[in-house]
Amino acid sequence: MTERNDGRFVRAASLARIGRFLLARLVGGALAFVLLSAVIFVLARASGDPLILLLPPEATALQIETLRHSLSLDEPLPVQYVSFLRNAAQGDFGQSLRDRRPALRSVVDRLPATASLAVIALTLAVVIAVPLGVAAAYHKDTSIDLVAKTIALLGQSAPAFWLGLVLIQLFSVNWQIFPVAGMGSPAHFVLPAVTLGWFSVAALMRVLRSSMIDVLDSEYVKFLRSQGFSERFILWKHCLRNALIPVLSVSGLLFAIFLTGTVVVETVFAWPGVGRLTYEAIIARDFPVIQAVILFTAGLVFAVNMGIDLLYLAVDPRLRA
Amino acid sequence: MRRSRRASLTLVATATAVLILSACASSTTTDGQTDEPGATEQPTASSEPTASSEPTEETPSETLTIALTALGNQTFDPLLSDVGNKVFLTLMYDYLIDINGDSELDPERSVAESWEVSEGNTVHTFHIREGITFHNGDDLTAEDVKFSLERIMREDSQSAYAGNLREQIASVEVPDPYTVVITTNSSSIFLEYDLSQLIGNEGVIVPKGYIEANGEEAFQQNPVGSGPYKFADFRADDHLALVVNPDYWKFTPAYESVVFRIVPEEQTRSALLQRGEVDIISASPRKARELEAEGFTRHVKEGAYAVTVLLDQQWEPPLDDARVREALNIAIDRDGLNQSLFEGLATVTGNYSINSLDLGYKEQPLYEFDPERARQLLEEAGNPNPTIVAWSYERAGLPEAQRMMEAIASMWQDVGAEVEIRSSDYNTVRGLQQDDALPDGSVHPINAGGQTVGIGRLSSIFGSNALLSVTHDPRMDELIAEVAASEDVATYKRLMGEIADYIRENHISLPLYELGNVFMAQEHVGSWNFTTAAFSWDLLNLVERN
Repeated sequence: MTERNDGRFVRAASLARIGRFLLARLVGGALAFVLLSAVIFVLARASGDPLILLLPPEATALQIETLRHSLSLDEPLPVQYVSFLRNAAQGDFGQSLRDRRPALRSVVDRLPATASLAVIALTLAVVIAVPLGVAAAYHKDTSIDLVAKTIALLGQSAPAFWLGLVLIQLFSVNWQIFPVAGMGSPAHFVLPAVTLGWFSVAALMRVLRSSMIDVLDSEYVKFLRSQGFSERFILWKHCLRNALIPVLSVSGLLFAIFLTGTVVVETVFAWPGVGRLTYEAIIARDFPVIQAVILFTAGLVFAVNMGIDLLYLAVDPRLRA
Repeated sequence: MRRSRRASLTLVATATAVLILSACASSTTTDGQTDEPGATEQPTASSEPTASSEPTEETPSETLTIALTALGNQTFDPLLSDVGNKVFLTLMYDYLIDINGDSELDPERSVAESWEVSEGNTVHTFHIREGITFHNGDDLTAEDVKFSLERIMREDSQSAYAGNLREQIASVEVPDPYTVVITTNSSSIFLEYDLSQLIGNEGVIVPKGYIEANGEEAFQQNPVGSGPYKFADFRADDHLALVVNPDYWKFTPAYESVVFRIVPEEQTRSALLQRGEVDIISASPRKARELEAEGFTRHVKEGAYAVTVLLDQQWEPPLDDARVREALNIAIDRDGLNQSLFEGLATVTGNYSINSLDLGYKEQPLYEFDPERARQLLEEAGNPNPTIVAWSYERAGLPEAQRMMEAIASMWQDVGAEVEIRSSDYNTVRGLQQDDALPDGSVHPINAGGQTVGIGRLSSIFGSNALLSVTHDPRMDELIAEVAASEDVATYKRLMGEIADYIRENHISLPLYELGNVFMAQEHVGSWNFTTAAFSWDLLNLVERN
């Protein structure tokens, strides 16, 4: 077999391997999705009766049952679940019990706000964490390393609620640099993104520092140095790329957390996102919205993790072989 | 390999850019269509900040911006609205009957310019004012009133008191274009109140022609009313913007637009006020004191909430003994609690406090703080150490609820009670209460909002057959039945007074405070007249100024 044919064979085998990997992930994801839908369906209803929250205390038993019937909540649970699955497969997650709007639409309308904030917060965290982590690893056990670790500690110690309010007081009220709250201009993103991303700087920096230290001690780095390549070239061109692999994993996890756990930041900054929607839906026992938000964000997280896995393949040639 | 790597990275970068661009789109992105009949402008949610955090003194702006915790359930259809929506529904719609500044039903200000009630209170005839138009130009006639009433009484209605109307109203007829005749199943002395702005949203008038032509969903996305302001723009969990209806029949509104901003966190609302980005915020008493010291104006709607601790399952020990109930009452230092929790701004009350503004309100003496006497009462009852389960949770409109219950539990322990504090949430406790599944000795706090008339609310708690009943008292049931059969308001008042006396004498309730709704405002907002309308911020009075 010629060298050219060998190359084509290797590429075809690699693509096939990637294809099998993606197919396996998709099938696994679908099964997990169905299981999750059942769990959420049961747990949401286990939280209690939503009708007592929709009607005032004066409501009689007849009034409650009348409304229950009109919302089809008096059907047996298995019937409700099958109906829910069938409709969900067609993109219909039912109507919110509170405002009768399509549940999925409530999620989709709010998702861009949360997703954009999550992306910006994560980007900010990466932009700060990468240089910090590289510097801390390269200058291990020096004052630079100490400063970087202190910054990380501060990030992990400051509660988001407190940090957000302090930033509002300083940058909005006292110095009038950024808006107080809400969505609007790009300036509206700054304070909530910093609040959300600050905690992540610590996690990302620590992971990168640890990974970089391992890479810097590797044989091929010694070889590169012996060949006379500059430290800057070795550090940023070779070491960082390899050290980023675990950082990608952590970033994927953080993004999922940002998508689903931003209720505190969204509350402080009056950000109209999915976090607040989820919280309000749980408090109100709005089953359709609870199901829609959890399943939709689960799907989104799954998609993001798939993307991360693809990035792995792009970054690490050993995985493609 | 390089091509596939670049493709992957390009895909991720593109997705990221799309997300960012979609979020950075105009802040006036609506939940539905933006084309609103008759809308003259599209106000945005934010206003330009002023140069300092001091209150502004310039002339009123064109836009009145209000920051509040929530906008009810964020629907604009009275059929689906909860009572919290009244804040903005009063600006978008007319009610069949309006009230004046003294909280009296006022034909001069109402869609029904006059009404008559037959002897026996079963036939109510309303004469509809001519010349009122909806925002889409349609005339408001008796057909719209009939349509609105029958619609709000539908079985799928989520309006708070729709069930009450269904039980009262037998038929709604329209003998001519400007007359509505409502026949009730029995004597109904409060129908006009139920259809007024005083109680709930059941009296809201919606356009029959518009809804029938465009459908329910279109109406819910683009609501049309006849009020002083029209729907302009909405973003869920962010803002609601209304623009002026220049043809409003009752008065000329003072502002070109009204914007509600949803800001759950009080510190953030306070920052918005200090920055000059909003004109009015809702505030706790403590925050109100801080802002008042900075020069902002405090406005209080008194009697907005009545705070009570319900003594559950009074047919079981230990709460079946009136001496134990009295002991629990007089063991509480209400004045001290008022100072520590509410900055002294709450009004201590001796009334059972769930109908604080009711027509039948009869002032009761306050409970004295007497822990020694409380111990004696428990000894006399043969139960010096009763076991009490104090449910503790956060409550909308009463953020102090948990601390309050913990403080009260401590006071009860001081007189010998064995108190178990259970942290939960109101929804769970109400569910247990409904199922009669609360443990013996349970107590839980409620803050009943606004006033009501009629026996509905009282009987829902003190009537033996009610889902949430706390007592099975035959005498109480007799009194409730007599009130329900009242033929006139004077009889109603007398009987409600008897009930208040009975509750007090037998210590059936544990009343605490009446609280007001506190608002902080920029100085230019000016005076703000409050009525006793339930769940309302009386914004109509604010925009009617000038």
